[in-house]
Amino acid sequence: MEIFINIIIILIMPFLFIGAINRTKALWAGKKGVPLFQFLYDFIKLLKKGQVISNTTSFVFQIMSVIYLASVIFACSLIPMVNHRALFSFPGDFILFAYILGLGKFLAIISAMDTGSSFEGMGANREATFSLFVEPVFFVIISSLALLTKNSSFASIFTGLDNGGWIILLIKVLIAAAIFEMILVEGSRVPVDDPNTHLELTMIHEVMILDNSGPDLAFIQYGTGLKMTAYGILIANILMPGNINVLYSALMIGGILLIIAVLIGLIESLIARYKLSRVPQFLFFISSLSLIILSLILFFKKGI
Amino acid sequence: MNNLILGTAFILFGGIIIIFIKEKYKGIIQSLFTGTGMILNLMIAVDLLIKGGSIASEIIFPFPLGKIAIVIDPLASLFIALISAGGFLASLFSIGYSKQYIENKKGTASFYFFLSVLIVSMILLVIVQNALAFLILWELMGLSSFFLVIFESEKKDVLKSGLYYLIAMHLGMTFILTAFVILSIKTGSYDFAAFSLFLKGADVKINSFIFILFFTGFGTKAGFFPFHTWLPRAHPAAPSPISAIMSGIMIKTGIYGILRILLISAAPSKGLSCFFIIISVITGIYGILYAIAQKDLKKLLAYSSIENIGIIGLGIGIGMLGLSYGSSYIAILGFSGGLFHLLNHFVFKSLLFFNAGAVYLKTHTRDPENMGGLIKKMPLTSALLLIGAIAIAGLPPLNGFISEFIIYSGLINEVITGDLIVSLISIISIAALSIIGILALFCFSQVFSIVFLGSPRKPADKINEVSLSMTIPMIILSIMIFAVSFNSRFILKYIGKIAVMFTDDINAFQTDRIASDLSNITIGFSVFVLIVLILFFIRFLLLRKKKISYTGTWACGYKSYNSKMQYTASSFGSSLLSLAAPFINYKVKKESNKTIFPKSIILNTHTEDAIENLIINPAISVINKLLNLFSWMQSGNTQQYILYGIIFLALVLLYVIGVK
Repeated sequence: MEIFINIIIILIMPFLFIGAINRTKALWAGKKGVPLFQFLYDFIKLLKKGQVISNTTSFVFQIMSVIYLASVIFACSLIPMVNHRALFSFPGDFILFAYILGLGKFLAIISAMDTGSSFEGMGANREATFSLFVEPVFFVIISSLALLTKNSSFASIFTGLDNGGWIILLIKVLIAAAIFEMILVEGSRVPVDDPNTHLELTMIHEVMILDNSGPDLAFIQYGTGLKMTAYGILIANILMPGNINVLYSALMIGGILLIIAVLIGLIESLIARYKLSRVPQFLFFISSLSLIILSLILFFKKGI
Repeated sequence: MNNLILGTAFILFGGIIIIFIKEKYKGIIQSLFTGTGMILNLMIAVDLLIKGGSIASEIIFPFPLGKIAIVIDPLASLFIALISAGGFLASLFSIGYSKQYIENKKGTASFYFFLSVLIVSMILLVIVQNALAFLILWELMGLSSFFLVIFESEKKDVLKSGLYYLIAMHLGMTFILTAFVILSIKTGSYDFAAFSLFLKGADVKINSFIFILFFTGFGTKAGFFPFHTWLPRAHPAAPSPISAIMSGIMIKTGIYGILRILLISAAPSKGLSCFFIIISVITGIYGILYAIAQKDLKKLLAYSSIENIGIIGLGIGIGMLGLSYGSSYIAILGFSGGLFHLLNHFVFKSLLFFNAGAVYLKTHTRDPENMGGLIKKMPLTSALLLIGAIAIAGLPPLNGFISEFIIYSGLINEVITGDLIVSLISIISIAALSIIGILALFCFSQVFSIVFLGSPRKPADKINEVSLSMTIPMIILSIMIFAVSFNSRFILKYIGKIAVMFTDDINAFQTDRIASDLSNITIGFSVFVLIVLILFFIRFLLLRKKKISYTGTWACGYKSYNSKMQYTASSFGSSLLSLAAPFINYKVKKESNKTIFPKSIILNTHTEDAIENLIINPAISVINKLLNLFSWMQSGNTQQYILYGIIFLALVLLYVIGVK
């Protein structure tokens, strides 16, 4: 039952998530907006299309989309969902989670460079540079949580977070905030990147896939949506209590994901993206947030 | 035991016999002998690793050496296996690689001879248990590798780098020598067993002092920060198979030394272990950051070796910390993580250096900015480099991830069980290891894409795939990458036996616990491969009857796009390097004329090793100044030299008269 619901979440939520972001943005701008499942329709349409491939490219370009999507799907199988149960859980699973997403990133970078386009080079380079800041944040947060709960797998860490006083609550909120900012970076959203921009010079994620088309493009877009959803589910795990009814739990995950989507939509409506040279400052902000979480946990645990 | 002696003798004999053989067949004959030797050595090494235990023996030599104890324990077995295999692959690769020398009428006898000497000296080094013999073999290893580094000595740079290497090796050796002298004065013996008895009885301060002396010496060989500066000089100078054997194996003898010292000394103190962890973390980040900035493929790989030594060191540091507070589980995790990474690094770094050699042979350049688009010309080489790059970046599902995972597990366990300082240092190390990981991803995606992808930056019509003798070693190594990553559990079982040697805890339960975690990883990898296959199948079904058209890359509407507009290595690294500029001496010089129609723009980016700038160069200039004070002695004037002789004789005469 739980596994079944988990798979449904993986399959459906990315479309709903992106749809909710776009709907929020449209409503805020006073427009009616595209249908909620427009992303799904686009996805299906892309799957039915043929492909245009650059002469410069090699086999790397062709295998990228598949490995990228596979890495995200596999990463999703590692994160706990309903009732903090994952499809696949063992001590240290979060390391595999981070590194398998790294594999997808590696493939995305080299496939962008495969086209020989300077614009895609820029995007690849920026994506690689930005993830330099996000990766340690993730590890610091999870290892601080390991220290707090004396456990080393996603599922047992999140289950261990259930009880606690106001300081645990504070830590939870801060972690949710930090992971939320990671979504903005990893999902290439405002203020780091603007998915709707059409100027190649300033794009990051979208520019890396300029030359991809047809099913490959569909795979990549779905992968990116799924990646954001995965981080969103991490937030849901931190905020929601364990040992509740399966249905409640599923609804809670869905609800928290929708709230996150609405928040992202609001941010995209309210603020402009940062100048590229300012982005590292935003990334440093996330890094310092993770250090604050670490010191709070050390304070709570060791009483310094 | 007999097998090992026979095998080693085979390798040495191969090195001598090729002197008398025609140039054309030297490589093949030497490979045959090294291969036979490797099989004999592997038989005994693998047998020992599987069965456990050790073989001890003694050889009696005439005076200064005397009785020399020889022990083949699991630690030595691992090294024997790696050295023999690496030596064989390097000589196999050399058959194809040395064709360029034969074409230029350059004799290769010295190359193969010193290669054999290097392999033999390393094999003997890891089994002797006697300080004197150890030092002699250490020197033999240093000298033979020195002669290999300066093989292309007709180039001035090569000679200069070679001398730098020679001096660095001897500076390092001074520390090892000092430590051994102190120990033998205290014990009156050269035997490691006697040292061990003394050290285990001595207090923490003496142990730490001896360890730091040894660490300085062995760390110079291994390339620990701040003793690493010789690596980025020696590796580009050496022929590629030699770089592979030096980076893949020889620098690990430094790690071997450190491990051997840990085995014979008392449990390290907590402070020392933390110090070791911090040095390793700095080594790792420093190495990979500089690797990104390099414009020479082999220099880049040399810096990446420094990074990997940092990771291995981190594993050993965790092991030491585990020993210091008596947690045998963490100690085993740490040591087996470090040793596993050592094995992995041997596999992928040899592969990458072979690759760099293959690319150099065809393009005659080591600067990635002059390459590009080689994937169409050298498809096999590039696919193999891709495997190596993914492995060295520590990405699943390849072997680099396994060892990093074990090290991460060690750190996480320390976070959970340690006190405040230990937890804090472990969390910092986890963050650092993740930074190293992502920087390695950055570095190797850059290398692969600049060298192989895109379109050629320089004309590349004549370039084709390298010969079979060069691709076979690379193929073997990439098969090993897959074999190790999908059989990690079994390999850990044997590496665990070495790790157990460091603890007093004999039972194998601890390694079983790690093995069960690794079996989860293996299942995970298989699931991942399955998902990939399913998705490929879906993609195939979707595209089966669709139209696929080929066109140029989208250049945002710009029509006359050419290969010069591609992203270069400098531009790829620039955003990261400018962020890291305060740490790495990254300098950008831009000259452009700001007119309405700008003509030429010159951009020059440059990095210098900070340690070399801050410590080594000032030290050298001080020494030069000091020695210059005495330069008048060496005037080149014959009369002056005769005067020295007369003064000396007069002094001797005076002395004799005075004594009488």
